[in-house]
Amino acid sequence: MESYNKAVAELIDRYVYAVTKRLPEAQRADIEKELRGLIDDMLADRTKGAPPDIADAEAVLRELGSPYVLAAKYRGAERHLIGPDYFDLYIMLTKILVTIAACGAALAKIIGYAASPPQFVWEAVGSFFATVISAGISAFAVMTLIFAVIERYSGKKAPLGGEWNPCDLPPVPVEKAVISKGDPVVGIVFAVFGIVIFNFAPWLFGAGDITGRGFIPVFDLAALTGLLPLINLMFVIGILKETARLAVGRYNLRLAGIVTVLNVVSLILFLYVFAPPGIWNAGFMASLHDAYGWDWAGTAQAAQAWSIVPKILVGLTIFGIAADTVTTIVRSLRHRN
Amino acid sequence: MGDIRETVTNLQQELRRGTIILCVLSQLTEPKYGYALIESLEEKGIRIEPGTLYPLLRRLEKQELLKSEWETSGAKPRKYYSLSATGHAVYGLLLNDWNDLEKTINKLTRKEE
Repeated sequence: MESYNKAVAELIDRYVYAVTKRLPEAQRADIEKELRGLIDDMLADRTKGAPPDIADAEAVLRELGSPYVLAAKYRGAERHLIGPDYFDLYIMLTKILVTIAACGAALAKIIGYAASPPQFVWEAVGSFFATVISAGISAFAVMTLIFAVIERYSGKKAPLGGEWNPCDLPPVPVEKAVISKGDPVVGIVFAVFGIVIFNFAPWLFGAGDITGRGFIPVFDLAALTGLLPLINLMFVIGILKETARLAVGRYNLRLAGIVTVLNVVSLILFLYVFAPPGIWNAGFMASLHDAYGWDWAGTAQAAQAWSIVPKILVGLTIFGIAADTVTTIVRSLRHRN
Repeated sequence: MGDIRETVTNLQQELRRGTIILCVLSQLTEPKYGYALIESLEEKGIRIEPGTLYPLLRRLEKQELLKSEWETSGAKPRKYYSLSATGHAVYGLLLNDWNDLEKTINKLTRKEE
C-alpha cells in the first residue's frame, strides 16, 4: 500500500471503516483490502503518481459516494425490519430473554400449583403450556419491537441522492472502550456490605438511636428472615455482574448480554422480595409515634405515606437497572468493533 | 425542458443497467482486477462507477459466475476476477439473447424501409 500524509491516511481510514462496519463480519477484511486498493488506484490515477493531498482524497471519496450507500450496494437488495447493524445483538438478546421468560413463567406456574394443587389435571397442563408459550412469544414480540424502533430511529439515515461530504466522516474508534476498575470494585464492596447487614444486623435498616429507646426497623424482621436466601441471591448476582465487567474489561456485545441477563434476573428477584407489602414493617409509623411521641407519625396520613415508600423504592430500582442496562448496551454497540 | 432531460437520463440508465453485466462478463475471459476492468471498459466507451462495479463483481462471484484470486506478489495486493466455467456458459447464453434482442429491435425500429 502507498504511504500517504497523515490527513489523507486518516480520511481513508475513516471512509473504509464507515463502509466495512456496516457489512457482515465475514466479508469485512476482504472488502477492506479491495476497497483500499481501489482508493489507491483512483488516487494514483488522479494525481498521475504525485503524492495526493487532502483535496484529492476528498474528490476520490466523493466519486465513490456515501459509505452508507456503498455498504448497501455491497450487501445487495434489502428490505428489513432489523438491519445488519443490530441483527447479531438482536438474535442474542432475544434468545436469552425468550428463554428467561419461558422458564420464569414455568417456574411461577409450578410454584403456584404446588401452593394450591389444581382440581383438574389436564386443564392445569393446558394452562401451563399456554402460559409458558405466551410468555415466550411476548418476550420475542417485545424484543422485536424494541429493535425495530432502534433500527428506525438510530440516526443512520442514508443521505440518498443528497450531498455527501467526506469531512463529516466520524473518526475510527481506536480506543477500546475500556471499563475503569473503580466502579465495579465499589459495586462489589457495597454488595458485600449488603449481604453482611441483611444477614447479621437487619435492624440497622431502621430509625432510632442508641440511647436505649431502641431501633425501629423498616422491615418486618420475621418476613425478612424467610426471604433472606433470595436477597442473598440478588446480591450474589450483583457481584457476578461486576465481576463480569472486570473480567471482560471493555464494552462489547458479550458483556452487554451478560449484564442484561443478570439485571433482568435481579430485577425479578427485587420485585418479588420488596414490592409486596409483606416484608415491610406495617407498624413502623405507629412505633415511631409510640417510642418518640412524634405526633404526625401517629396520623393516618403518615401511615399512607409509609405505604408509598416501597412503591418509590421499586420505581427507583427499575429506573436504575434499566439505565444500567441501556447504558451498557449503547456503549457496547458504539464500541463493538 | 429539464424534465425531459431527466426522463431521458433515467431511461438511459435503465437501459444500461440491463446490459452492464454482459459488458463486465465480456471483459473477464482474462483475469482482471476491478480498476483495470473500469479502465478497459472506459476505453471501449462504457463508463461504470467503481462504487457500482466493485459490489457487482462480488455479487457475480457469489453467484459463481466469476472466480477470484488475490495477487499479492506485486506492490499492491489486488483481487483478480475471471469467468468461471458457469460464467462462460452464462455469458454465452446472455450473448445469444443479446444478439436475438438486437435483431428484434432492429426489425421493430426500422419497420418498413
